[in-house]
Amino acid sequence: MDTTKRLLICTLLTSAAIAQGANVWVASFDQVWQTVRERHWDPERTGASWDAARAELRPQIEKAASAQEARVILNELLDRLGQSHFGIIPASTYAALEAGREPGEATPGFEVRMVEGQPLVTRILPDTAAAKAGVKTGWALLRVDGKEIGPVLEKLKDRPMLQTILLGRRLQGEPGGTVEAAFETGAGERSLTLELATPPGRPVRFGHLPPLRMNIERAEPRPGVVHVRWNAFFEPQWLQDEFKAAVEGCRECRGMILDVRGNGGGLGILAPAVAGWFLAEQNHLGTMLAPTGPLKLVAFPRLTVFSGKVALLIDGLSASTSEFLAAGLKDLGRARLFGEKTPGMALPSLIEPLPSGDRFQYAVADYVSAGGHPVEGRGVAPDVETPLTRALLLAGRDPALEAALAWIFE
Amino acid sequence: MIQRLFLCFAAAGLLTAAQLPTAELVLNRYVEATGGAAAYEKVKTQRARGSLEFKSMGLKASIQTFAALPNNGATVMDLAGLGQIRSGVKDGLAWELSPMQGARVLEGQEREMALRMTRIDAPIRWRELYKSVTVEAVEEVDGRPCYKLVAEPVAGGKPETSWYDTESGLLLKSVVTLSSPMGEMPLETRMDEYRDVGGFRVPTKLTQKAGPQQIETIMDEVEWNVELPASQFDLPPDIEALVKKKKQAQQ
Repeated sequence: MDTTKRLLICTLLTSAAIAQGANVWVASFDQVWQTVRERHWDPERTGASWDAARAELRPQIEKAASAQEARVILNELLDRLGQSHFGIIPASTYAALEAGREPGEATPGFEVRMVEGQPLVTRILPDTAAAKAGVKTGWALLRVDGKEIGPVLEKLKDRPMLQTILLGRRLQGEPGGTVEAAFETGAGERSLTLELATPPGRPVRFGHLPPLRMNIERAEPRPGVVHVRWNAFFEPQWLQDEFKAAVEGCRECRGMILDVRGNGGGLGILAPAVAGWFLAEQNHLGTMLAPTGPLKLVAFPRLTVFSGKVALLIDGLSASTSEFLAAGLKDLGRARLFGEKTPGMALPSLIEPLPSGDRFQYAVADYVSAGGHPVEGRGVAPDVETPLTRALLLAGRDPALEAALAWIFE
Repeated sequence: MIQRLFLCFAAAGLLTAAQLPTAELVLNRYVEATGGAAAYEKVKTQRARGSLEFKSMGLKASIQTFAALPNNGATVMDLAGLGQIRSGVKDGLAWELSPMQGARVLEGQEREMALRMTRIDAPIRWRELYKSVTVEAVEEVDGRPCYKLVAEPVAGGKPETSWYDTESGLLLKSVVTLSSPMGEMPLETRMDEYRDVGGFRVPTKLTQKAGPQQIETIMDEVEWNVELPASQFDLPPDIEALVKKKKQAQQ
C-alpha cells in the first residue's frame, strides 16, 4: 500500500472520530476517569484529587476542537496520577495493522539512544545499510532527512525514554525507501543516504497492544558463555524455545548473559517464565498488589535448569517486565546486574478501546520485588554500574557486556 | 469452562431456614430443569468446543474440553499471541502445560479444584464433593430472584457460592476462589443463553470476572457420550518427565 493510501486511512480514522462529535471524547474521558476510579489500587491517588482533576478537565474536553487537543487533555488527566502505564494510544497507531500491513517499520539498521545528553548510535545491526555504509557506534545523530532533531529532543529533555522512541520513529519508513542521516562522527560531519529494510525478528500482534517487532538474538561472546538478547516479552513459545536451546546447549557453560537493554517489557508473566530456566526451586520474582488481593509472580523451575553464573544487562530503557525480571533475580541472589539503572516503569497494565477509537492503557496493580522493594518511580539499580559514554562507544566498547564477562570468568 | 460449570452445579445440602427450600431440593430441581437425573446417570463422557475472549486485552482463544468418568479430563486452549495452554486430570494427577509456566503438576487446593472441575457426574454426585451445603438467602441476579447456596468442599478450601433461579431452577451465577502458587483470586461466573443441546439444557455463554480481567466464553458445541480415544487423557511427555523428576527427588 502506498503512502497516500496509508495517510488516507490515518486521516479517515481520525476524522471519523471527530465526525462523531465531541461526544466520543467526552465519553472517552468519562470511561478513562471511571476506570481509574474503580480499578486503581491506591485510593489516595483516586480520591479528592481525582475528583478535582475531573472537575477541571471535563469542561475542557467538552470544548476540544480536535482529536489531538482531546488527547492532550486525556493525557493530562492521566499525568495527574504521576505513574507509568497510564496513557492514550491514538487510533492511527493501529492503522497499518487494520490496513493489513505487517507491523514494524523498516529501519536503516542502527539504534540511537540518548547518552550523555546526546543522540548517539549505540548499536549497528549486521548486514544492514548502516553496517555496509560504515556507520560507527558513538556517532551523534544531527539531522534526519534534512531536519534538525535537536529542537524535538529539547522539548522532551526530561523524558529520555520518549526521546529514544522518537529518534527510532524518525528513522523508520517503508522497506526499500531511504533515509538521509547526518552524523557528527567525532572527526567531522558525515551525511549518508541509507536504504531502509525490515529489521530482523517477528511482527507481534497481541490483543489491543500496538503492533511491534520482536527479536531474539543468541550468541557466544566467549567460549563457555551464552549471550541472549531480546527486545520484548511476547511470543512465549518462541522465547521459551530460544531459552531451552540456550540452556540445553550450554549445560557446562560458566555463565549466561541475559540482555534486556532497550527491552521495554511486554507480558508480565514472561518474567517468571524466563526466570524458571535459572531457578532450581519454585520461587517468586515479586508481588502484584491488586485491589482484589496480592498475586505473586511465581517462577516454576523448568525441566532443565541452568546452574552457572547469570549476568543480567540493564539500562534506562529496560522497563516494565524487564524490571520484574531484574528486580526479582537480583533479590533472589540469582543474577548479578550490570549496566545502568532501569527507568522505574514497572506496573502491570491492560489496554482497552475507547469510544473515540483510541486505546487506553491503564495499570491495574502495584509491583514490589521479591525482597519487598517498590520499583515504580525508583527503578532497579545495577550491582555493577557501567555508564555508557561517547568515548567508550567511539572505541567500539560495551562496558556492561565486558564487566559481565569479567565477572563470569573471575 | 464446561467442567468449571459442572463444578458450580454441584452444590447441594441442608435446610437452613423455614422459608427457604433445602439445597437438595434446589439442586434436584436444577437437575430436572437441565435434563433430568436419568439423563445425567447415563453420561459417561463429554466433549465441548467453543471460543473465549479476554475482553480487557482483546485476546481471543479457542477452547476444547474432554472429560470422562470416573475423573479424567483434558483442556486445550489456543490463545492468539500466547500459544497453547493444556491442562488435564488423570488418575488423581492434575497438570498444566504452557509456554509461560512450562510443565506443572498441581498441588493443594489448586489440584483439588481441578479434580472437582473434571467430575462430569457432579450434578448427581455432589455429596461426594461437598461436606455441607446451605441455602443462605434469596438474592437477585440481573433482577431475577435466586436461591443462594454456599457449599463447603470435602477437600477443604474456600466455600463456593452459587445462585439458582427460583422460577426456572437454572444456575445463573457462581463465585469460587481460585487458588494457585500465585495466590488466591475470586472468580465470578455468570451463565446465560441456556439452550437445549443433546437432551440437556446448558448455558452457552459464560461471562467471568477474575481480578481486572473479564472473560467471555461462547460454547459452540457440547456433546455427551461421544467415543473418546484411550490416549485422550495421556500425560504429555513434559508432564511425564516432571513426574519422574519429582519422584526421583523424593527418593
